[in-house]
Amino acid sequence: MGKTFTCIAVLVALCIAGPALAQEKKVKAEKVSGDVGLLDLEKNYMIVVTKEGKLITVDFDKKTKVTKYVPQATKMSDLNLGEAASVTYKKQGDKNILDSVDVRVKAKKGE
Amino acid sequence: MNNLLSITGVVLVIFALSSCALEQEKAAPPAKPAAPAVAEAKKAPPVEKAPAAKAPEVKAEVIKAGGDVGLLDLEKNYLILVTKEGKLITADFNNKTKVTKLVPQPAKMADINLGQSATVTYTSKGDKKIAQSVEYDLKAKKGE
Repeated sequence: MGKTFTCIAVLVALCIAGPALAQEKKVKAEKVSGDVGLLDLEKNYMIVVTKEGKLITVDFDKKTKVTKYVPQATKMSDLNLGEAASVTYKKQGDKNILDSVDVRVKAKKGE
Repeated sequence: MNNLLSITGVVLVIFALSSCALEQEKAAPPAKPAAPAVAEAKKAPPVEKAPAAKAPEVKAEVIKAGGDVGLLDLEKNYLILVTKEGKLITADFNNKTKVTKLVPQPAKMADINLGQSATVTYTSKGDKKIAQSVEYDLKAKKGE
């Protein structure tokens, strides 16, 4: 009876601790945006200067995926709901009049 | 008798003349306030001119916002942008609104220029940060 109880207790403990340990192992990806302040193609590192003036040094390798977003003129009718957009507008009375709309097309998986 | 009549006549004439003079003197004071009114009327025009010289019109400020397109009405020409904070921004568009889509294309680290704005996704390993991806926007050339 005592052994059975011990076995159950160990199993329960493993069930609780297992996922927690797995989460710790997962490395969290972080994002930073800013201007490229330095780019060393020999030593494979770059420094990003954030808006707050913070300098972040990041190494890169062959696995680092580089994507450039090329602007292309389009029409309002080409926009899709849910797309990420950056807009500029002016207030005219109680209305907002759009000057520009920039829509970022999501990269397809594998691209 | 004639003398008496002539004296009485003279007294009456003097009385009549003096009463007229007294009437004029009494009527004169109300005329005084009229003078300042005229003065005020003369001063007034510069006050009216001041508003005519309107302050230069303030240029409409350009506001930037980012979010997801929540609604797009091509008949009524307006869209609703949902910001990250959950704020809804309704904005009208017209033929002058410039619409651009940013299409992703593979690139190399060597293509990145200094000063270019970029978004880097990285993971930390010890005291080092390893870039997983680098994304940057190419600026549209003038006229594009």
